Amino acid sequence: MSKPTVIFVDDDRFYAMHWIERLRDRFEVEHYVDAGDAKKAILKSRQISCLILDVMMPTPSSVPEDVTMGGLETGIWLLQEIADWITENSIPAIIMTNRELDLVQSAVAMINLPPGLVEVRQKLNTNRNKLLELVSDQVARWGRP
Amino acid sequence: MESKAVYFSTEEADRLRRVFYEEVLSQAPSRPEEDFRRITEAWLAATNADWVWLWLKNPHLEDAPWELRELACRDGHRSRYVLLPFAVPARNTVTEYCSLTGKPEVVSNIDEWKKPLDGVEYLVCCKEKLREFRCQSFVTVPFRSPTPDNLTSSNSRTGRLQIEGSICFHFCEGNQVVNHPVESLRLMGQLTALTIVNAFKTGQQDILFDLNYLAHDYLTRVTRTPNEDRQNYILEVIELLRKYLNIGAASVFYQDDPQFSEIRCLATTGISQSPPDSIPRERWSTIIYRLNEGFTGKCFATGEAVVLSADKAQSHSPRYFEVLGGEVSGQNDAVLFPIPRARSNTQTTNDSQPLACGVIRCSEHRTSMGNRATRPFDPVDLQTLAFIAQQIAPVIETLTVRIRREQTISIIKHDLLAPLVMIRDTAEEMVAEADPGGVIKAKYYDVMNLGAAALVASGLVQQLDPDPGKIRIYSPERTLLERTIVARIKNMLGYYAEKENSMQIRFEGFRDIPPIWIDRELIERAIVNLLTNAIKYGAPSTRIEFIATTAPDTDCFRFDVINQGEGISNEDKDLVFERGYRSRSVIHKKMGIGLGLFIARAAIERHGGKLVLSSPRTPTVFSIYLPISLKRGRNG
Repeated sequence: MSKPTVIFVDDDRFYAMHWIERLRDRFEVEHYVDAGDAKKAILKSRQISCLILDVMMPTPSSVPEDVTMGGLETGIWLLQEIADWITENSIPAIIMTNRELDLVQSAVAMINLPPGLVEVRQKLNTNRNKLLELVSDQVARWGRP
Repeated sequence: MESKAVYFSTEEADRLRRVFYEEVLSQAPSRPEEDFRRITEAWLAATNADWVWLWLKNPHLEDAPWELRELACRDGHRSRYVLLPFAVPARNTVTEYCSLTGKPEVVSNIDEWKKPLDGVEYLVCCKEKLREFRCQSFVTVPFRSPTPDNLTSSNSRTGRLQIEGSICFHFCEGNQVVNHPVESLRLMGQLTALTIVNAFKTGQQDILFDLNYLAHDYLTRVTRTPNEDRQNYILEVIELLRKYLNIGAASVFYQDDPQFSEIRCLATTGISQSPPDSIPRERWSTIIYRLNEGFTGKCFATGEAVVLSADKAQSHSPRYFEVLGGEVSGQNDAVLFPIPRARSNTQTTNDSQPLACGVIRCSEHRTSMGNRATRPFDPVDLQTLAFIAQQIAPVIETLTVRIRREQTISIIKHDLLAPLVMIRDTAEEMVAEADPGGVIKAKYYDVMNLGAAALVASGLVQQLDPDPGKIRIYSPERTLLERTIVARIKNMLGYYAEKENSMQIRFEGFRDIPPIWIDRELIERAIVNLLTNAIKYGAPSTRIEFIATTAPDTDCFRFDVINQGEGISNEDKDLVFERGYRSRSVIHKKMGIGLGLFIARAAIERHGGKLVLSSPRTPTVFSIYLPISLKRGRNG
């Protein structure tokens, strides 16, 4: 039986690999460094079990800088863009950030998603084993093993 | 109506001054609109005229029409609603004639009055309107402010107000033009000019109070959302503009980033009558003007106000259309006023440096009638706008600096946490996997992860320095590059390049470099910055080359960092070493704050060497030149 697919969006390949290597113990991981490319891939895919999004990333070239606050909230922009799709398909998402947690949580709360569908975690307080457990829990809870 | 003969005497002058004091001055503080009404009502009460009209002309605008700003009449306020707003062309009119001669003019019969001046024949131009109100004769008294400077942003600091206007006494059927002494008429003209200047200055105090309150409120806030703060501040400033200038629409454009000569709309009210091709209000923040682009871009480039007239006077056709961004249209008069640049930033680095740092655009200028009728911008409005622009400039600049600072801190904090998390996780896992005797059997990639992450983190810490280009400590040591720096960074950066962008790094020629006197930390930082830039911005799966040679015909060692990236545009090549500069071609690739090359150059120059962009195209080559004769003596 093939592993469930997780989409990992983070512009830093080097550090992303640190998390991805552990996630590959249980999941198939697709990594995107550009939020615009990630959006296209997510909306096209039918087989995603979970999304992991960074928040601070470069603004995609087709998007005005102010929409993402100069890249400070690119992950929030991406979440907004795919909000309907993940709600309809019950795809859980985990926001992994080094930004202030309360700022990110309030930005996510404004998107109006089903409770529990999106979890916000600070990278500093989440080691890669914890992330692996969290993704597994979310996948089990939202029913796309 | 019974006529009152008026003769100029000390008593008459005192009477007029008393009326002026009681009806106008003693009512202060008030707004220009209220004082204009009071002065016309005062002159109506002081004479036997049936109507008193106050005309103003904008001396900043070529061929500006004469605009009827206020009127008082004996039949109450009904006529104000009928007549205002009203304007007549500047040419050939009695008002223009009086303004040119500087003397009062008595028009006993509106059909017969006709006078030549410099080959032009002047007539009563609005006879139909006058007949409608049964006016048969009138007296026009011109006035000017005592300091006729041109109103531009540069002299707006002086607080001088240039006004050009006239006060007009109308007499209806059954009433007679009384031969008022010229001195009496002139005194009324002078007092009217004084009222206008005074009203403006009084209004200025109110504006200052409101702006100070607002500035204090926003500058003393401690928040983590400076972007939101700046936008809210500007929205509140727009509300003040609407209140004090009585305008319907206003927008504020500002230069967010000094490295790009463009201004972005930070806030707007939008306009009630938007042209069909204008950008909807929810997309206003995407409206950008570059230097000399449209009227707004011109105002930004030259730092001079632009007054646009839609010309209500029938003989003129609309003269402008500002298509881009839309909210100024040909249907209304508009004014574009520069937000002055702070004095410390006026050092221009090249000819294309804009002289303003933002633009305030105002339109839909309403009359005091409370309806939606619009009127042109007059000198009082322009002066008020100059005052507001001057007051808000340092506040917006401070809030903008806060945004940049917050962004820089966020990026560095984010970038610094990434390697720290990796170091912590890897170390924890290595400890967890230690054997019962406590011996840690580290895997190769664990050690590499630790080393590369620590190398990147230490570079980021340096960027937190408020003045990262200033080298505080310089400690040269005799150094064999190959053994010290190259050996240290070779494996870790090679590993980082492979993981980050599937790249290889080739080091060549370092064995041939003899020991040299360098500050190891500074040179390592310069090399790491150049190589990490090549890794971040180079094409994936290519090779970076780092080659050491002795530069022919020079007393220098040369170290080239060569990568196969997209190259550097002509526009960017002279700016890449500037503090905080980030090329447009990389901003969508990686976040950053533009300090890497700036720090590298400072480090090399501290050794008496230089860092240059030898080839901006592909392959891109950055070359370090270090003098062969470097000695311990350069210390200090």
